[in-house]
Amino acid sequence: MTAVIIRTHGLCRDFTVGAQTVNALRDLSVEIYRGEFIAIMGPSGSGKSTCMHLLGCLDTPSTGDYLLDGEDVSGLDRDSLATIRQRKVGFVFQSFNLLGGATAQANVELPLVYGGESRTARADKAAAALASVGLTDRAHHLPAQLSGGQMQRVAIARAIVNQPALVLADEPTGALDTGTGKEIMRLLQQLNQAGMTVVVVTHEQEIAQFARRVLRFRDGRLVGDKNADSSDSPEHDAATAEAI
Amino acid sequence: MRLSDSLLSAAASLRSNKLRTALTTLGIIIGVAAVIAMVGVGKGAEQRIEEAIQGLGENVLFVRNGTNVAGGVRGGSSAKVSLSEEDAAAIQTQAPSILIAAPTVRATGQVIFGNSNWFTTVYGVNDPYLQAREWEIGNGRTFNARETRSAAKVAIVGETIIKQLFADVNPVGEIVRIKRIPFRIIGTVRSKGETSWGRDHDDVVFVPLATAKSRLNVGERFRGRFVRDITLKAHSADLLEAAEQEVTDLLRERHRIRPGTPDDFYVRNVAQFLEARAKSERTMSMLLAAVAGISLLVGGIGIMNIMLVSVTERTREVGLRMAVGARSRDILLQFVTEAVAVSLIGGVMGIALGFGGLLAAARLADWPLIASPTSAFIAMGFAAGIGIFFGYYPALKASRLDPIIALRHE
Repeated sequence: MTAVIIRTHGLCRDFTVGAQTVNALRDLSVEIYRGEFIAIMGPSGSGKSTCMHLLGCLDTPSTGDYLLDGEDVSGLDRDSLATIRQRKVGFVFQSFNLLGGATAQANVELPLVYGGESRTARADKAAAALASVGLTDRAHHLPAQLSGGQMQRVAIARAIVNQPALVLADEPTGALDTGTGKEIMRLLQQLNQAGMTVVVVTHEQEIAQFARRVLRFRDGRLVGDKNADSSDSPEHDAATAEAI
Repeated sequence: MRLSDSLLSAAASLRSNKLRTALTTLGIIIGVAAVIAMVGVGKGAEQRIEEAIQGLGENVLFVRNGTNVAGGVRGGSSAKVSLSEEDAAAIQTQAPSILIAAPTVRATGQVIFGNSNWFTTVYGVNDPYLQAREWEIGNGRTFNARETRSAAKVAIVGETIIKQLFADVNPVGEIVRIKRIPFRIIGTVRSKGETSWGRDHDDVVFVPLATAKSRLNVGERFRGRFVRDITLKAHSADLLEAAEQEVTDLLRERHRIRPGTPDDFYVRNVAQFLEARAKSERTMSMLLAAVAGISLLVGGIGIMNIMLVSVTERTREVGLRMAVGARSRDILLQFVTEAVAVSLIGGVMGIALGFGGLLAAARLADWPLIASPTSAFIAMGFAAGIGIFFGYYPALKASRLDPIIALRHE
């Protein structure tokens, strides 16, 4: 059995909007193992983004526990969360979010900058990350000189440069054409096969097919947990039963 | 995040918006230039006073012969002579605020040594005058009592005379001709230097008062016991005004001037006069300080304004940096560094402008202004302080952004 990288128990996230309380995520209990490739699916407002923010340590749960790579991160303050993100989470965004004034290499180095690493160590790691996404020859190009697919590859290199426990991709193909999107997904698949834990948030079935396990959300609840190569997990049964 | 990284990041961000950066620095440039100018003008004024006091001697007053009013025709200054050696003696003994009262006459003429000659001013004075004006003897000695009494043909010379006639060789014991009369040089006085407005204090020869009156042509008007002026030294600076009053009262009495009739002499407090002029320069300095203060304030607000715009524009960047691990203080440091960088750039340019302006003013207006390195440090300190003060709030705002909301920002 491989190691559990994420374990949540009764994770809830409420937002107070005026007098109303919106339960964006309700009672999420899920385990994710090292080396998994997971797709989180659901319509907008289903709670998948909230789930991603919580898993990515960008947000803290209202109630419930969250263990990331063995560390309880549910009660941490802003700066501790930032440090956790720096060490354990790599983000890939729909709109790439590269710094326009910085070269591909400098963009990839950014997480290491906040880790306080030396310039040479940064350059070496960034070069390795760029090599693993096949962009060694574009290291000194600015984002404006790259295609959409290349920009997303740079973003992926940035996400993996620090060998995080988890790569979180939020609609990584949303700004790309279908062909390029598939290339990006294949790249994520390769990285996953090399041992990286990858979680992709998407609303496209085609994209979700790249994953081996799909978590479906609706109205803030986990309503489906399907493994591509085995039967449904116990959590899924419970969640489905509750939803019905 | 390391400081070097935040500096690089600030440099990159400033480069990407060159025009904006340039305009933002403008206020700081003017403010810092004004600080430099202010200190320069202030120091210039101070130095002039110091030089003047050094030239004059401390707590010195002059009494001159007054304007003669006869039948409605006014003669020039000193047209009528009323001051005498006895007046000086009376002031010395009867005016309690006065330390020294020294009568003087003066002549101009050629001084000749060997085949060199030099046109200079020869003062007929006794030793107390040298003490009042704080002329220190360099080589040789001052006049002794016998020389003073017997109108001996002895002279004390200034640095410029030595330079012009003796090529810097010690002239004590040499014989010079002043207005064709041979004088033995018995001493030299130490240099008082040149004033910043170009007057050479050292271009001077002293001979005993009696000698000047009997041997050199000091003017018909100063026959007998009459003198050109009386140099006074008060006991202290606080007593200058009292001294002026005592001397005025005493001389009016001695000259039998009836009440309501104007003085036939005048007392001039040169230091006070210079002080007044320095005051106007200090006012100028204050004005520059106000300009500096306002420019720096406006410049600072400009920086704050631009930084707020910059933070808003770069909200997504902030969100991304936070997502990849930037802590609040990293973001704070980044934006404060940027603000300080802008104001330091402005500071450097302001220093260049300020020093340039001072040099130009000193050259064109012949106005002694001092470009002191201290003022550059002060100005840079101001600039950095403004960067921190006005950059802090925008930076704080950026550092408190919620990464999720920041990442969604369009």
